[in-house]
Amino acid sequence: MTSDALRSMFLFFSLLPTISIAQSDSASFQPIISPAQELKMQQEQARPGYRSPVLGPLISSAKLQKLEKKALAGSPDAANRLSTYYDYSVLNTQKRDYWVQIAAENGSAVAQGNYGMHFPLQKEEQNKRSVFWLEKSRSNGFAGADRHLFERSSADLFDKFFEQNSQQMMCEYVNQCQAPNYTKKPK
Amino acid sequence: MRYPHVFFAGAALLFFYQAAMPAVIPFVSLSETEINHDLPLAAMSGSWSAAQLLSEYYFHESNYAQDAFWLRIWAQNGDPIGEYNYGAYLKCLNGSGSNIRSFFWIRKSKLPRAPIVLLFDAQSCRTLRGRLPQSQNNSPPDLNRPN
Repeated sequence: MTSDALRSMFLFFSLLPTISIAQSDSASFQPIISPAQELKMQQEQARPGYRSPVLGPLISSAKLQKLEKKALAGSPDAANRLSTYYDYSVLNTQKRDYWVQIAAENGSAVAQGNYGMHFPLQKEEQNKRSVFWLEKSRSNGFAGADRHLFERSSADLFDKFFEQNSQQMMCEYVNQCQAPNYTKKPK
Repeated sequence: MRYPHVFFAGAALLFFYQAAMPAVIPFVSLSETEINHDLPLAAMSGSWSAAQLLSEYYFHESNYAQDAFWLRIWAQNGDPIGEYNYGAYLKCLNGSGSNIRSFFWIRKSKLPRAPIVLLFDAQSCRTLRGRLPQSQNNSPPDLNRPN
């Protein structure tokens, strides 16, 4: 399961108790949301990437140390748990990326998929690396990697197509492919 | 065999040439496009040898940040020798948790000589001193390549 799906599930279950079903004459059910929740949802919709301050459970420092040792020794589950901890409970993206990479190295298919999705598309090198990790995660049985692999390969195909046809596309866009000169040349 | 004396002379020549070879073999010369484009793309796609070449090239060039980066890629690509080398590098790093991580990579390599790394002392780490960072910086590595 992707981190986006997990996050939406987490938000859904955290919002569940605040939702009550309106008893109206019409058959349509309209949920009633508290003003604070409504504001939060508006903020999330207005700013993509905004994270509401609903946090996950905290882990004690002793348990964190144990998990870190387990993860470094090769446990994919411990590394996954640490990455989700730094994603949801303590928002530290640098540490989250570190533990996602460790989990991917330890052989967790989900983490390999997440790590592969993490690379930006712009650089060719990073695109290759993302395809490497996504293929690894697919071979380890993570079905979610397929869609992202398709996106990466289609981006590659688009780039090649654009390289070949960029001049033609641009002149069609500007409508100046064949600029006819109807005026007579001055003598 | 029609000309056995030719075969044996060749074999003897090869044998003595090997014996006369210098202990330090100079690094193969790589073109700029190979270093900056071809090899990184191949290494990022999962090639063992490309990552190995890049790691060794940057080690010879004394660019140890790049060397450590490609060493990790070499290990991630699944080459047992890369895993062993990266484990040895982590063993000498003295960072928090790097000792445990080095054991992970060395165990993963499954090489018969792997347990030797567990006996590494300061003297054996001094041979790897080029690869070790000047300041012991334990911050998690970035996804991007170092410059």
